[in-house]
Amino acid sequence: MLKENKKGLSPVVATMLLIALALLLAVIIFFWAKNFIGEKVQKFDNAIELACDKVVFDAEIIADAAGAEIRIANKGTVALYGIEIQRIDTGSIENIGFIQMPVAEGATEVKKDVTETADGTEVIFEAEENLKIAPVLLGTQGDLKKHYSCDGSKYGQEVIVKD
Amino acid sequence: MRKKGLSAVVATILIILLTVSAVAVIAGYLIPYVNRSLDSTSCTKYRDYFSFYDSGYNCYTENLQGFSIEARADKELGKEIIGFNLLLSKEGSGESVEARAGANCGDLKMYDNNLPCSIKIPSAGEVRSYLFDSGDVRYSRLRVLPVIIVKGKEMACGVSDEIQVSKC
Repeated sequence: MLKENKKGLSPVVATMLLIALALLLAVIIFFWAKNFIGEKVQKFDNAIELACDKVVFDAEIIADAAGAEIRIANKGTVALYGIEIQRIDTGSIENIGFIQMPVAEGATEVKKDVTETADGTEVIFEAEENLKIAPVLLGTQGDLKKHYSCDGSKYGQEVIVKD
Repeated sequence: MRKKGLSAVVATILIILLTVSAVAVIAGYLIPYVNRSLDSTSCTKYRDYFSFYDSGYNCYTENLQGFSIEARADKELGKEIIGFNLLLSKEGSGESVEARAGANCGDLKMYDNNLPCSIKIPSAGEVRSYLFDSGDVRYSRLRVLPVIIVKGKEMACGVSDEIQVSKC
């Protein structure tokens, strides 16, 4: 009588090994792709760009010897975290910087004596100067809170600095 | 019974060693190859980074070509941009102009021409206008190509935007 040769892996162990291998590969590819593509800033569980569509605001800037007075009236359904200011000149639109100025939905906020941007760059506004104001929103990226500037060419508002 | 040959343990170790050495040899060729391929994909995100901005300066005079360039409002992308190349062409001829941040003005100047003149590249969301002295040639087609820095090397990407221009 021949003795049955039972050496080798059982079908159950072989299947489990294959599943483990497939899962391991999937995890490796997921983390590689996540790192490669990058995570987007989100708001209201959607890409934050979509929230820019819901922003409605009025901006006013008054130049003063002590600094500028910035008045923002938020008429939309999205809270503003601040504004991004650009200077419109002959043939150019130049970034001035970000001013942190939270304005809740339906609220109006006034910031006085503004002489610098959020990163400490000195800024001087002159009367009759032409500016473009773009809204800045606060979103989340993973566990982090991150601010996002809406595209000034689409969502920006042109204002002339008052005296 | 004679049991000549390799034991199962020695055979397994030999197979593992063979696999490891094969992986090492393949990786030696494969990793640099993949890295080179990934470098060339760096330009994908800059496909529409620069565009011609309709400011009224996209036109030519007797010897000057004017144009305005807008950069997409994406600060992350802007970090790798060091300039752009401008291709000017008309039927049968053309030339290329390099614009690099901080370079001294030559035939290419900023439109506002503040002194000392140096080339400014539009940052994310900005617009800049330029004048190029094209001599007595007037080009009717302009194309802009972003130039980025990848691992310390300058890399010119594909055409980001193009425009037909006419006399001012």
